[in-house]
Amino acid sequence: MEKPNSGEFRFQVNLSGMITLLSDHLYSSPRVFVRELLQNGVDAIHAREMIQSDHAGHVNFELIQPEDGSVPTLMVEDDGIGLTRADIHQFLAMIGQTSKQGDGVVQSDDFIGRFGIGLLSCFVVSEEIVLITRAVNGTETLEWRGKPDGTYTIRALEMNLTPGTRVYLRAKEECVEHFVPAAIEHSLRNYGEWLPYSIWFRTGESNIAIHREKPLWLFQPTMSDMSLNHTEVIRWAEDYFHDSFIDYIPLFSETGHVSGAAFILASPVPASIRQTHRVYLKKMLVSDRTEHILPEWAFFVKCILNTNELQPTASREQFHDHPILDTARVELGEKLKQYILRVANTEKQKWEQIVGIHHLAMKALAVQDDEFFRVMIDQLPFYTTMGQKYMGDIRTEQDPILYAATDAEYRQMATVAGAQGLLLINAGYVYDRELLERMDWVYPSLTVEQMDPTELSKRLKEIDSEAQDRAASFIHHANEVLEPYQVRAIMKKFSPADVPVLYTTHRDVGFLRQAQMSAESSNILFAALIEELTAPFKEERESQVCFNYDNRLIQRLLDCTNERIREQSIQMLYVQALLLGHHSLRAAERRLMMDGFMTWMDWGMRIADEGGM
Amino acid sequence: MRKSLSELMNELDGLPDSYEKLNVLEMAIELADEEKQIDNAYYLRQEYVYLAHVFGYAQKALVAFLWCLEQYDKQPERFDEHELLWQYKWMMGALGGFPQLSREKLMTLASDMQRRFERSGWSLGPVQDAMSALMYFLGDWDASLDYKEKSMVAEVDGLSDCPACRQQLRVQFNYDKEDYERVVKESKMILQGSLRCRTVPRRTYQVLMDVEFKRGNLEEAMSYLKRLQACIPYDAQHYIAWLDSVTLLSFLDNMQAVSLYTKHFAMVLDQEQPFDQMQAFTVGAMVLRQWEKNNPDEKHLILGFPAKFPRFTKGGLYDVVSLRLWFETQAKSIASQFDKRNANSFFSGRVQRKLTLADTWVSG
Repeated sequence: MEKPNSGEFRFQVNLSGMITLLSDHLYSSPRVFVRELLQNGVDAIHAREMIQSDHAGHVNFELIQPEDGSVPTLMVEDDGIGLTRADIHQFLAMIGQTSKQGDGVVQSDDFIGRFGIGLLSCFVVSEEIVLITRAVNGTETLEWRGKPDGTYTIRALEMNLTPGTRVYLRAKEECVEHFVPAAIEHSLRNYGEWLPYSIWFRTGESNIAIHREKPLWLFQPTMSDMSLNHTEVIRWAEDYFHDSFIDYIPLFSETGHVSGAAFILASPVPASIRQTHRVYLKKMLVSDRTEHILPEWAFFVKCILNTNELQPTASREQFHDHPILDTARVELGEKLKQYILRVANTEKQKWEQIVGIHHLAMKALAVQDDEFFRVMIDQLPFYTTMGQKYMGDIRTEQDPILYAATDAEYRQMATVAGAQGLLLINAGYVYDRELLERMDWVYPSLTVEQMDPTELSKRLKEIDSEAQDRAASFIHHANEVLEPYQVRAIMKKFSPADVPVLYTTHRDVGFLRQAQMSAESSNILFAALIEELTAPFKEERESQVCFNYDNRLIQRLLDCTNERIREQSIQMLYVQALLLGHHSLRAAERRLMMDGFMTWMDWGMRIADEGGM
Repeated sequence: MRKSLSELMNELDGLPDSYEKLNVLEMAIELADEEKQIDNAYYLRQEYVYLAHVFGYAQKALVAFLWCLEQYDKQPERFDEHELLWQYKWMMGALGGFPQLSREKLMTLASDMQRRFERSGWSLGPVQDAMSALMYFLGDWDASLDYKEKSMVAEVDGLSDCPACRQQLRVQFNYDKEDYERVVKESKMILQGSLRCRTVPRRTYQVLMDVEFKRGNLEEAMSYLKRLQACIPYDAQHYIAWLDSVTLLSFLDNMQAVSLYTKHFAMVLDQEQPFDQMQAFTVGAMVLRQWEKNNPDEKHLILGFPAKFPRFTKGGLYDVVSLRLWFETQAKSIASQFDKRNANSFFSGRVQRKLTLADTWVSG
């Protein structure tokens, strides 16, 4: 459109295209029209309260379902501030223009809505919006009819409406499913049950209250000062979330003016879960799946929170990812942490219950927070070769503290390390490695060492020179037999004596095998790149089979002169060592195992046939 | 009994991004290879590439990536090219950080990347961005800036970075050109919260922190530092961001810098990319040099370095000068490896400038 004689043009907006955009890309469901209507009604009442402080407003929804089976109509009525003719032209007819903009007296932050696109969501489900309104400071009752093609009409009505607004929406044929009583009641309750106004929903003979009396403590920054009945609060939360809880934590953040409560879940939660929370904006639900309002480590609680200041996105289904949200998250996290520290220091039984269920979350917090780490590390449990132990006990029982970095390495070492009396921690669980690596930093006088199977093998007792002489030919033979598997044979003494052989490998050996495999199947460029990249890994990376000089079977093998039996035994002991260490068997090793079985069975049967058994 | 492949894959679902997940992925890949389950081996490796890349295990990520690339070339109809090319961006951006790789091989690989993007009709923006990183690692600053500029104006498509990252590229470009007014201007949309992603505004705070420090606005710099620290958890994924925090603190709150550096040192030792190690050792030397200036009469510090630190001392008592010299030597040694490969003195010069900054900086 061109302004006369100005040479200046204005963009045209295709309204139906906008509506498609809203329904397809902005809102997660067409049902948001109920929320938008509710929000407009509540904001209109709030605006009226600003000039008439004693006004107690209400919003009534009525679903009209014609008996002739034609499509239903939803009527929404509020006794808010209403709209004048000028307001209608300004706010209803201009997309993105909201009646809730700050004008010096009434700030936009006082309202729930702010984008001026809410009413458009009604066009997703209806072909026409009919709005009848009379402003508090106006004299005429006006009817506005808007259509999705962007046209609208306004006319003054003869009737004399009391101040407020009524909206009529007639369902599109294909949207009737959103106009059934259960769906509308569900949406109204979901979004509006805690709103501080009287909200009703009528359908047929039934007229039900949507608003419900909320517990006095809910959304109160001072709830920690209230003397609340613990059982009642927990029961309320369990009924509300349909989950079980063991305690609650009052939460408040100055930033974003966030308040509410966190409820500690009564069962463990995997660390990969990002807990979702119910978050309200000025007591109207924004989302029951808000994720980023608490720190990542807080996956052991479910929250109900209200904010008066965090900014919702245009869809009003999430909060704007803004530095204010970052700060609020830190403040709320601090409240959670202070609660845990207080419980740990003053309520032993409750603390043990929390750690028993949520030790993963406690560890996640200890990784992130130095203060918490210092205070709590001794009270956190770890799995060791001596069973589950608290770090406080581990620190006093073993110096240096030893840990296996992965579960696979721990399994390789656990039996032998335990028999040597070594307290070895399995740090293959989430957060344990990070915590152990922080121990040196917090306690510089302490030594915390990562032990790998190769290192364990080095710690095993050397055999004396006489034993070395006796074992020399056997070890030489073993190295020949195991050469195709890239394993080096050694002989040492270790407990338990009934374990004949131990297989140890550096974790990079697996990587080198992968690299070798990749290089073999790659083109020249990739193979050369892999070769150059992995060169630094190749020093001192080998697998070992450590035979146990104290084992009876090994002793017999040392005396065995039958080369064939010795070779088969070495091969089978190698496979057994792999299985004991929970290692994968490669194809060649699987073949070795099968051939070995067959050979020994064959020998056994031959001996039986010859009357040897 | 060892776990089956399906058990391991179920276990992966319950694990957050962590070292433990990397270990389980390694076991699962080994099993998938053994059982010749090519599809599983491929997709597990793709997950591994991502995780190993963000946790600093660049070599392992690269080997897994090259395996995927080879499989794709053998059976292009079987695997998703889009995901593969996306990962090519990360890998190409990291490869130059290994001085043992020759310039010739790196350039050949860059041509391979470009050929794949062109063949499938994708915008060359990501290739130019990767080339910018490569040129930097090769010590050619001007070429690096040129490629960055080309990447900024390239066509946007499904393999382009997200809008927040693209805006951050503008911030970074102006930072590299030392046009700090423009940096602040380009950061505005990000700081207002309208552009965000997994790495933005974190990277923006990192840049602004340094910009304000260089402009002498120390309070502003500290304010960005606080905002940065509020959005980075303690983990290896945010290692470089922590290192940047330490760099600033080495001048503004040296005691905290010493503590923070030591706290993250286990991560430094885990970094496979020599470039990252060089950065970390340089920062270590800067922090200690500043400490020496602030505490001329104190020769020793008690520090909680991990036992795997090559200079580890039981009891934690360290001679500051010899420790600082060790860091300097390590940093210079890696820089010279780069310079040898690059046939210039770019990285030695950069390391030296940073070390000199610690000598010349005067508070207030």
